Amino acid sequence: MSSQHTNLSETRTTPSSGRNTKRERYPGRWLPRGLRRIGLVGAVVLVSSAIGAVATNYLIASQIVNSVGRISGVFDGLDPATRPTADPAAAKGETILAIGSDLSGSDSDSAPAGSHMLLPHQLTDVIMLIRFDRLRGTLSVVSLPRDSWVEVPDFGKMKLHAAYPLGGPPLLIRTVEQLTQLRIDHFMVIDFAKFQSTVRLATDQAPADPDSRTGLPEEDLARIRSQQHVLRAVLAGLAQDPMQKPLQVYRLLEATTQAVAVDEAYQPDKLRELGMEAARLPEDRIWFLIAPVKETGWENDQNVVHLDGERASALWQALRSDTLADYVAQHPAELLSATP
Amino acid sequence: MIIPGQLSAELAAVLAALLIPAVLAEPARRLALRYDLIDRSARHRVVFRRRIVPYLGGILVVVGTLVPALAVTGRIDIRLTAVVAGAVTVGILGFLRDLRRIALPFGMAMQAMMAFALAIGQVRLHVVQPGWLDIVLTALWVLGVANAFRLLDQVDGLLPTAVCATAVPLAAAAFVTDQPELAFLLVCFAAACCGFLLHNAPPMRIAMGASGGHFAGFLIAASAAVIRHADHATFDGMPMVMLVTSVAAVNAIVVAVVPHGLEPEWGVVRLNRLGFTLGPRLLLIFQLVGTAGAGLLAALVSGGVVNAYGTIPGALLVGLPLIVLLLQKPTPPPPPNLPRIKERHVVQPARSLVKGGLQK
Repeated sequence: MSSQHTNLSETRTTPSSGRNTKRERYPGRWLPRGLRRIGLVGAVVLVSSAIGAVATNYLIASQIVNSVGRISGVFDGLDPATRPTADPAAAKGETILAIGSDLSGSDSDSAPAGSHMLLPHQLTDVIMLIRFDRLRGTLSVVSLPRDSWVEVPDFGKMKLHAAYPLGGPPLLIRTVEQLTQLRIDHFMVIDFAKFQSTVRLATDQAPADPDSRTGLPEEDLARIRSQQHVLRAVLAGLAQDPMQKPLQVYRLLEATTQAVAVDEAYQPDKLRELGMEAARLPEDRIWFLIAPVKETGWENDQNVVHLDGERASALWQALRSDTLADYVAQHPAELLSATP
Repeated sequence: MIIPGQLSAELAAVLAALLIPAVLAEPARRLALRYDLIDRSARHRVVFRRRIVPYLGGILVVVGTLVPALAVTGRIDIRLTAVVAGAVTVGILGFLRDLRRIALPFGMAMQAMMAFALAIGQVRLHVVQPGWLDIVLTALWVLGVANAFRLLDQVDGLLPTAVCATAVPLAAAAFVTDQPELAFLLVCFAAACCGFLLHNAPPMRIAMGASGGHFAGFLIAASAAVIRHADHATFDGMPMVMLVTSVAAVNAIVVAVVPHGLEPEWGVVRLNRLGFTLGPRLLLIFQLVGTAGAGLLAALVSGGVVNAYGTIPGALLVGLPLIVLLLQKPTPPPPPNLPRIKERHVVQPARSLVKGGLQK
């Protein structure tokens, strides 16, 4: 503080008395002189960056949570007594049943994600189970072919995707729970047509178009793979370091949440937590699988997919007990290939 | 719309914004002293002024903000260009005021013209319904905020602190409303102010002057108006506008209420005379925390995280310094024996000015 101001000489005192006076006048002189300015600047920088970080964090989180659509009445009419119970060994995870439409060129661009409830027949092109194991930090996505020949409660044997138009989300959840003995914690509707545009955001390139459907189950499996590639590209985009490309990650996050609707019971902070933790997972801890298929066949003049009961139950068991790592190690061929 | 390629470049720009004013302040100070660019606002007050504060900090802050920000951002959209051009013009007018080349009414008129031009160019508050009234209101508001921020320059360290605490929440709001360039500009501005604060902290070695004060006020006000205009689905910019208004008003009142200084460390002594014993730096931190807290609240209210009642504690936070100051009981002035200060950095013209005495 050498020479900031020039005082006139009549107020001069001896240095020692001057310093004493000064100490008397300003309490709190615990910092050495040279450090006081730096300390002040440091405090300003610290406080400003702190409020900047907090404000940005909360604003982004609120924008994102607000843009996620909500679906009501998902678990209505489900009898808790008959539902499978969660394995206590796997208590720290959650299972989400996700359905979605991949009709590219549908008018879903203008409609909010929640309005998908109006189009039940389009909705179940995609049926997947998402299991997030918080304890081991793994995410597994298991697609169920839409034409799987399964037992639908109260309705008998039919294609899996037929359960949705018949009884909405509750019936679909019951069907999947009965099939897999997995407890479904949450329900999600994904608009894959919108997802594709987010992939364009994430990778700066057009995603591989899912094959147009001709109704054959073999093509169904190929379509599932391309959907899983889209999903993987989105997750990889979200996993980018937000410090590297803050705006791109934010845009992608916003676009992703606009393509997604979840059940009303899913609390916003839980959803945010899931998103943040899933984005932090390394790529080799995210597994994409398809429910094991034995053969395609015909039932009542319908072209259907028969699941491989033995291998499928091993997969469901692995999902239930969160031992999918072992399952994947045993069946590496079932994983989604690295390139589309 | 340009998506920023890498933050490493942006981080470097922010660091540059921090360092440019911090490093260049001392040369600028000497330059200002050599060419008599010093604070002497009114002839009748010069008699009592015991310290010489050079004005050149405003130019430093403008350069420190714009050069790194524009170098990294590249192309900016038309509205942001208008805001930056307006702020720079107002800064140049302020510099001419510092040089005592133009009269106050002329400067004000030019500022008002810039504010009007900006308001006509769609940077508006959207407060009242008839468009022309809104334009007038916006222009007057920008003018008021710009001049209020100019007042803050008189107290040591107050202007950079207030700007920093206001610009950062504005930057967060700009980022969320999809205006990353504006957000980045505001972050660079805050960084430049932090760098400048190193020399502007009490007791100040250099002040921003009218150039910096008007630039800061204009840029902050126009940014708030741009954010208000963004019309985002879930983001309401009104709390940000109110934040800027209240920060400008409260701080200007604090400066105005406290009688103008007669002693060297005038900001300090004035506050001490009011019975304030916090000391200048702690007072600044007090001010900083109040403003920053209010800024955070305003941003959260804008984004809908906190409901509108959150503005009440926000208003209290901004108003707290004022309330505390007004509640202080006046105490007798401190004894006149002031600390001895070495003069080794005072260069020739200023030294002769001191020796010759100011009371000519």
